Amino acid sequence: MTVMNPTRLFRKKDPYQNHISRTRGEKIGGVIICIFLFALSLIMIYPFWHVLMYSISEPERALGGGLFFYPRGISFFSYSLVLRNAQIWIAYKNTILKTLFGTLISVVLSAMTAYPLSVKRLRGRNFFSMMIFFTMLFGGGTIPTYLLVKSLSLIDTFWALILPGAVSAYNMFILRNYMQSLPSELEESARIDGAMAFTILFRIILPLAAPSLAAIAMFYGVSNWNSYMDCLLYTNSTSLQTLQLYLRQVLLQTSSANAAMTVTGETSEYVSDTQVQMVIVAVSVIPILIVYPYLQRFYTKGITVGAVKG
Amino acid sequence: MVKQRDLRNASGRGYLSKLARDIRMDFLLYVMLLPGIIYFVVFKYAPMYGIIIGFSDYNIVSGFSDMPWVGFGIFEDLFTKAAFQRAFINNIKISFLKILWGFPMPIILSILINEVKNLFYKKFVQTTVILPHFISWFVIYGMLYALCNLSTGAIPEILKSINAAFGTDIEVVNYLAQKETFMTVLILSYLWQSSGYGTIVYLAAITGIDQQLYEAAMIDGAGKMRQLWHITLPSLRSTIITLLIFRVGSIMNAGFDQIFALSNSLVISIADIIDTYVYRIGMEEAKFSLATAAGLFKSLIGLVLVLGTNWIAKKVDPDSGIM
Amino acid sequence: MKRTMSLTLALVLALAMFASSAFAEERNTITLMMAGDNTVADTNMVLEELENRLNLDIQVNYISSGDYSTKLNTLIAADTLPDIFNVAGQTALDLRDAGKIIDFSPYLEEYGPDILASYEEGELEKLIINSKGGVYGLNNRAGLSIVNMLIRKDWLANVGLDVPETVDELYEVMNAFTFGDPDGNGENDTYGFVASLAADPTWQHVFSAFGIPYAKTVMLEDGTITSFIKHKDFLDAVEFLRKLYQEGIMDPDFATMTQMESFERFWIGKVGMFNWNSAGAARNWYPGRYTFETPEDPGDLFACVRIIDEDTGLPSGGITPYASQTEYAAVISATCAHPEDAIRFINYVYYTEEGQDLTCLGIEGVMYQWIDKENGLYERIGEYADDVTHRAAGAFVYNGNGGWTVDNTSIRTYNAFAKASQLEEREYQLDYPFIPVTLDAYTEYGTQLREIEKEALANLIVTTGDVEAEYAEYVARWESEGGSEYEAQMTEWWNENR
Repeated sequence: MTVMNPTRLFRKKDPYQNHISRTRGEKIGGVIICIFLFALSLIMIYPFWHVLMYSISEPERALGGGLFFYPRGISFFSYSLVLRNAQIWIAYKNTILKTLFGTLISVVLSAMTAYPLSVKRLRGRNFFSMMIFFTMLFGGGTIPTYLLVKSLSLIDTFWALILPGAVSAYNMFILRNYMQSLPSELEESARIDGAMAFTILFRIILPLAAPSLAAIAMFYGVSNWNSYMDCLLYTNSTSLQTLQLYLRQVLLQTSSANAAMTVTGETSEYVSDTQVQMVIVAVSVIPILIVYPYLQRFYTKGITVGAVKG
Repeated sequence: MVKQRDLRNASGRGYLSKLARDIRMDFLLYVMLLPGIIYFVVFKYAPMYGIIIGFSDYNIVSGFSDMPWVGFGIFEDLFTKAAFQRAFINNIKISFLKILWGFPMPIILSILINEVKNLFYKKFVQTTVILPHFISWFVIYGMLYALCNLSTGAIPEILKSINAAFGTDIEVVNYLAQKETFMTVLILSYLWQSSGYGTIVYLAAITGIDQQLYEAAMIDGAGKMRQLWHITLPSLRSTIITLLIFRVGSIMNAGFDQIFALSNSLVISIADIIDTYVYRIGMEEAKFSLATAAGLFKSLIGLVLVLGTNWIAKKVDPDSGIM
Repeated sequence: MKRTMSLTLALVLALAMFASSAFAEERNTITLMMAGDNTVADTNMVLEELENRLNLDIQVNYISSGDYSTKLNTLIAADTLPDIFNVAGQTALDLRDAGKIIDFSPYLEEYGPDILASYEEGELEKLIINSKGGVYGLNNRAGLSIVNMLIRKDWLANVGLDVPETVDELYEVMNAFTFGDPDGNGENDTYGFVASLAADPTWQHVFSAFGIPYAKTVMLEDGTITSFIKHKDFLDAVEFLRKLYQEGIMDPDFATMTQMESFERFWIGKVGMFNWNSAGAARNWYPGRYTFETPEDPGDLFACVRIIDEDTGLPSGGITPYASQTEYAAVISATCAHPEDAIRFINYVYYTEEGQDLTCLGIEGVMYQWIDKENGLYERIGEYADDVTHRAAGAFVYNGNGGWTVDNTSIRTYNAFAKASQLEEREYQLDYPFIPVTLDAYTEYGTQLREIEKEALANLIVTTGDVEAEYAEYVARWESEGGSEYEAQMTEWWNENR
């Protein structure tokens, strides 16, 4: 609780020390940081920009490599190639459902696991933590897991896409860690007021843990969105196909190594494998980019514990 | 809290009855914990018998029923191979460099991003830095190739024109194909791809710091650096330690996807890691025993390192660590 | 209340039973798993047509080719095999020995007449999977495409040279293609030789010129079967490549270039000589992929290079394609309820012209029509001219390769140049001692040894040190990391079986 007591930390400091130069220094520092981050953003944005520009270039002109600061001609042919097939919308639907339900279940389960483990007095806390941590390092492997999913009769069901990866130990620990950093008086005073564990979790802890919840929701969401091994192994029918599996098929279809064996290109239109690859990146990343700023809302502005506590 | 425990200890009742009372007191917390524990038992522990595959001559056709026990035979086979030893050493080198450079990067980046006051700009930066994470290593390789290749690559073009303009004699090489430069490319591209995504956790943790602390500090006249040193970093300490422990635990994962996409025959002697090696020798047939044994070996090293780091963390700060 | 409920229940049950029995009487169900890279719905026009023609209920588990073995391995381990699937190598033999797949020879006469007709006497028995008697598997023989080395005639004319026939001429042409401005754009931006370590075929003809089957096995003078890197002329070939590399005739990025990038160099006219299956370069992707002007007939643009081997005095071309003997074999699971239906399916889809055309080109008259069936000319009709629509309707999905006979739909529809150059190349093919991939040492060390070979070749081409000493080191490493064992097993197998 030392952190909670600011006066003790700063009592000895001279409040007027370097007062003027500090503000000026800070201003300059702030500007430098902004400029630095802008440069950094450009470097970080480039690959995605490259993908976008390449994906809308005319396929023939995109050949020959080099960097893409602007599109070379405009063509949406590769987009139509990927998006025209009715199957992609089924795949999108499945992936969105998986991401929504999967993330919701994962976050709730993780919170329910993390909270008790963040209560320091809890008996067996270390044992349970250790037990969960152990699974981060050791696992049974694909085949025993497949046999398990099969014995639970989950094969070729929607649940097979959600349950096997429902809780990630890593995310659970991140959340627990965050909950641990919250002042324990909150929990204690609520308990004294007669609140039950579930009420404390949902009414007091979770609102305070919003930043961390948003972070792990992002992690769960992204991994649900990008996962494809579970779909590959646990489902058979194309009605349950997810986006990544669909996209992988599109990709392999156009870049089939044995050129003699494909009929692609019998039509006069030109198909560029590299471009299809770029389109695939774009169609799978853009939805994430649309959602992410909404999640950021939960952790761009600092929170004040006192305000919630009061 | 401490007082209560002491009192109970002093009361002289048996350990079991104390335990029962503690459990009863937090009964609902256990109920809450139950679904998570059931999940881990069913989906993670139940299949763990698969570990014996690493000690047996497993064949997918005959399955678990007919699986001759070979003890540490597979491990011995693996360890005595020169290529495995080479991969092991490379693995440690690459992982170490990645932790050394890659671990502090998200922390620094988060602190810098947190200094941005304009909310729109902040969101912009926050979003752009995570972008590279979503681009597969094969696509990134395509871009690195576009930068580095000698026929059309951007970097050789620039170097050539510098040489032409200033009469310098900078050697124009393909950085992806030189043992001397490949490691730099590997680490830089890793930093670039993963640092931004790593900021998510730290930014969340920074947001969780009680704003009253900063206000009080400002009233006390503490400058930015001092706030950073006395509020931000101490508040991030437990997150940093936890993530460091996890990172150290996965030290044997040197980044299969990246190396698989980026390495080539000219640099394989310094870039081959355990995962790429195992992938290669397991490729012809479904060699599950071998993959399991290699995985176990990696996990065991990870476990030892985690317990070690955790122990040190506890010594330094009893409240930190994952257990 | 209760009575109504039980009555309803009984009714529902009766209905369900009636429905299922009626269904069962009408059509048997077969399940199959196949690898392919198309995006198709569970039900579609071609599949329905196929079900009607065969009077079967067909359930397909369609897996992208890159993931097929992962999924199959899992299904084998879980013992939930589909009725028909393809399986390769040692796993196939293990399945046979464990009784998980059946000997379907008893059904062949009645249900698989076209299968029997398409194989020559004794050919089926030669397949490794059938080596212990019976017929457990069938192979795809259509994959026997051979690699050509195509050269651009217009470039040759520009530099005033003929199609090279000796190693020296090959060098001369490559040199001119690099420095003689073959595309006439006034810039020094072309290469004489482009190869990628990620694409084995791109190296074939240069090595063939020295009598070496690239990335394959060779027989040494003492009868030992070993890797091509131990061929007596290997260093000669390396010296040739070193010269190309050092003089800037060969694209220096051969180690980092991906397969697609090496293709692209050819398409955009930065290289005028390229190793490729002529059907790939001249049929499927012709002329769409080339960014330069292309004549209507690919024969006007390309010629095939075949270098005369100094030892034999004969021109040598692409390496004999033995792939089919090791490729996936179609097998029928022991859990299959109706093996006769499975055979009927395989027979029709893979071995009859009618079935091949349906699964490859689609429904005749609706999706495509023949212009000149004799010469394999056809056109796709209406909306099905579009690849995406064509495939979404199920064409080119269930049998993308066009069938398993030597003369399948895919090959029947080749253009004249592709057909002729494939047939011609076969006359000059470079034969080598073919060893099946089921040898223990191969499964144990195969891929690792291949990696050492690639590492050796790459480093020997670029090294500035003592080539012979480095070569000796690589050979020693190859031998110590399983190569010697592999060599011994290959030699033994060869002596026993040939």
